[in-house]
Amino acid sequence: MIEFVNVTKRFEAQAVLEKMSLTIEKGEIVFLIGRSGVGKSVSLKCLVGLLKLDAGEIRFDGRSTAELDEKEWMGLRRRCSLIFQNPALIDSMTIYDNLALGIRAMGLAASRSNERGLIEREIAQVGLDLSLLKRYPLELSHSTQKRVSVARALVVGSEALLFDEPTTGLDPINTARINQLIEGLGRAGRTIWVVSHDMHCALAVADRILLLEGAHIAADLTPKTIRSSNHPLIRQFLEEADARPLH
Amino acid sequence: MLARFTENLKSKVENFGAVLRFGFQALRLVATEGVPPRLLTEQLFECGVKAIPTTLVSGFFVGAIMAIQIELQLRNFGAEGAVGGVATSVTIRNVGPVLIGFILVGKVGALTTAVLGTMRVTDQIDALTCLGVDPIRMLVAPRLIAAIISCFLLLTIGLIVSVGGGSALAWLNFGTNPWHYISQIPKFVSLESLLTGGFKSLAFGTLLGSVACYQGYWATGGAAGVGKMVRKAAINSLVGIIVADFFISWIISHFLRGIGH
Ligand SMILES: Nc1ncnc2c1ncn2[C@@H]1O[C@H](COP(=O)(O)OP(=O)(O)O)[C@@H](O)[C@H]1O
Ligand SMILES: [Mg+2]
Repeated sequence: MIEFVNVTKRFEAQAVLEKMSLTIEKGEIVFLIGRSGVGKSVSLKCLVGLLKLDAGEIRFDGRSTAELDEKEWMGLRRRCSLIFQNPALIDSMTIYDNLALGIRAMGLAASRSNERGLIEREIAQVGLDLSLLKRYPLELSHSTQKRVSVARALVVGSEALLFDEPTTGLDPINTARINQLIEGLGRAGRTIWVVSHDMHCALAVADRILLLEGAHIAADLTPKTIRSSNHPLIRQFLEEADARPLH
Repeated sequence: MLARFTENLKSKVENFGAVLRFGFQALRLVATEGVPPRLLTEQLFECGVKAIPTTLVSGFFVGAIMAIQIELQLRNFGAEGAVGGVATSVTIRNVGPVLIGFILVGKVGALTTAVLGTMRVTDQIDALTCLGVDPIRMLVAPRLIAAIISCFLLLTIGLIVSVGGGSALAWLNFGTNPWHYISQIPKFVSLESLLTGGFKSLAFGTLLGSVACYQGYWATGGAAGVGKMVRKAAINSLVGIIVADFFISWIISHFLRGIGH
């Protein structure tokens, strides 16, 4: 469903991605791990067109994103939602209006009651109370805002969800909640691409674990095969995960 | 040293070019798609209505200051009777638009850069794009149009008050009959002065709105980066207004000489 073919992305002289290739199949849960600053977020932003490639190609459902016009980009962003590392909710709008943004911009609801129905369903799906809908983002805790941001992606009916460090900065309880949510969404048939350095979570949830290092995919493993990898960084990530108690 | 200066100047000019392109991009969007009325009303309130008290106070005192200064000058020529006309003309053509521009830089420019900058560095702007919402249309266009309209309306309000301030001062200080003060105005304030003032206020509104939005929209570097951008936007707008004032005055004076005024 998602294919990167020799993708290159530079910022001035710095090559963040250099001939990076990867494939994510429909319905897969894939974790991309790597040290901070290697270009994990950049790769997600390239996929949804927030950053332009310098070379190479990204295909979504077999179609190269280089050919897309503005309208087709909107279609891609509807089918493939990026959930930012920041909750990125619009401060000046209520939670309801935040969730309605995409529905209205993309014309997805036939009526106001239809819109409310969609929103209430997804707010419940992420385990939040409907009374939140009248509140403003900054009145809510960070972890609640993060869950709202997942609901905002679900509301437009995305088939693929891209999570940028969904659990970074969360306490263990909320980390577990988010991980369960991601796993549930994956088991329900959505394609999931998580960028993270949380190996714990990757081991528990992922179908496949990719390592981004040196501007390309340096390892492509599964939770079963990863233990036998002798890539030093993978070993380091595993040790770090093993050292932490399970939550 | 010289190399650094030219380098610096070059980057300033490039930055200014980018600001102008950004402003025109937003204006073109407004021309083709309009502005969401609810968002525009909100921004007009933020930008225009909230700046009215400051404009009233400044306008009144500017009128009084101009009356004092100009009376002193005119007295040497025995022409102090013309003070109302000259003071108002100078206020319309020059002092008024610049001052309103400065007030708006402080009142709304800083706020605009800070709000958009925060939205940028917390990914809110990218999130809008991902949701199919055009952030230029939703965030920039209403703020820019509100800045332009506010500049013009506040100039009008400020002028009226400055005439009040000037005539009150002339009356209290020099015993000039307020009606006489006001009756001098049409003799000095030509249509051309009104057009100059109006044009300048629209130009300064466009300038300060574009600078404030651009610097915020493309802010980087977290909270500290937003702080730097607020400062940069303020300085660029103030300098930009003065430089633009010079060029507009210069061009208009050449133009008028050309048509034989
Ligand atoms: N918009 C940008 N402009 C310039 N450099 C950037 C930009 N976005 C990211 N970078 C650089 O690209 C590199 C990778 O960033 P990122 O993908 O955010 O890392 P991470 O893997 O932690 O998510 C970093 O060195 C960062 O400084
Ligand atoms: Mg990142």
